[in-house]
Amino acid sequence: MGHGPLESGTSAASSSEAPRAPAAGLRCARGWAHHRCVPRGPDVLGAEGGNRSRALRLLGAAGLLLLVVGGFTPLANVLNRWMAGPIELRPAHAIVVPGRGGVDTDAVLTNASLRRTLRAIALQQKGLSPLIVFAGADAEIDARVLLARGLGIAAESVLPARGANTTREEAALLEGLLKPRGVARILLVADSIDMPRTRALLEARGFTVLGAQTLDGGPSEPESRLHLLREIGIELAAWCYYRVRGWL
Amino acid sequence: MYLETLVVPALVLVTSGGVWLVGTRRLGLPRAGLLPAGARMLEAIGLLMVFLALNLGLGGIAILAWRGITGRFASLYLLNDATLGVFSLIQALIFHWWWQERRK
Repeated sequence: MGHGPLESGTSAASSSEAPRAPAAGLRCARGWAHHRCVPRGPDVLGAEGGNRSRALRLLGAAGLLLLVVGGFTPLANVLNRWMAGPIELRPAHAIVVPGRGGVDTDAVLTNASLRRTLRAIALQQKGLSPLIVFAGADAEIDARVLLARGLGIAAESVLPARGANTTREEAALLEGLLKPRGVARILLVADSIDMPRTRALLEARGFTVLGAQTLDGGPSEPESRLHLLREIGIELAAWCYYRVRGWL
Repeated sequence: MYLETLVVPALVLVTSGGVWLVGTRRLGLPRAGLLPAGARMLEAIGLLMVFLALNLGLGGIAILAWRGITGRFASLYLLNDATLGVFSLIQALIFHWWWQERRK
């Protein structure tokens, strides 16, 4: 075993890490860390444990690399912007705000949901569309409608889209709600990360989708970047799942 | 790159250097032992990724099966929880040490 004591006659490396034969009879007592008692060569080279060990080490190295690159470079931010596509703030028939995160236990919108809601309200107040459509869980929709009404949006300008649990169900629900109203062009307000799949699903149902994502420069702290990278991974997995199921 | 992002890596480098000095000079640890130790660390991270993939895969299948069998909705986002990573790490470390025992 590499980190165990060396038997006499086995090769060893000196403290300068150059291979060197030990003096005759040199033996490290168990548990004694002599500076010349080093792991045997094959273990250092990773041969011990065979291919499984080598594969695990490669996998571990890849994970570590991902951690460093994801946390300390703008990789996640670049991917996020690329996935979101362009922002197109032009007049539309409706502003659509998909659900995201719901509400906390105190019935207040989560951070992501609040950001979307406020952006949609701001776009409506700029006159880009007469109608805001809020989707999501019931509690989330209620909180969004309450907030919009509190910020001066007229009741007739707010349309709740209730009853969908997934992005795919939201798209179907929106089709049923908006097509009869003659809505064809929509401003989609979502996080950048959620744009590709939602956009594709809505376009597949005949909507012209204008991107109005809650885009910012992206996080600059390593932890937040790693969180974003995780979100990207989840979204890519969801995209693959939708592709496999034939929904995209 | 913002300078602030370098604080954490710099801190880790400083403490690693300190531990290197203490390990080699005071505890008499073999310098060449660092390389295999790094290799063990990579194995543990590799195992962490394996366990994470297993947990996510099994969790995803279970949720989809639940939806299919009961007709009731359960969100796949249930799996988006940092504790899953922590538990996967614990699984990986236990398995790694167990495996090490056999290799001795």
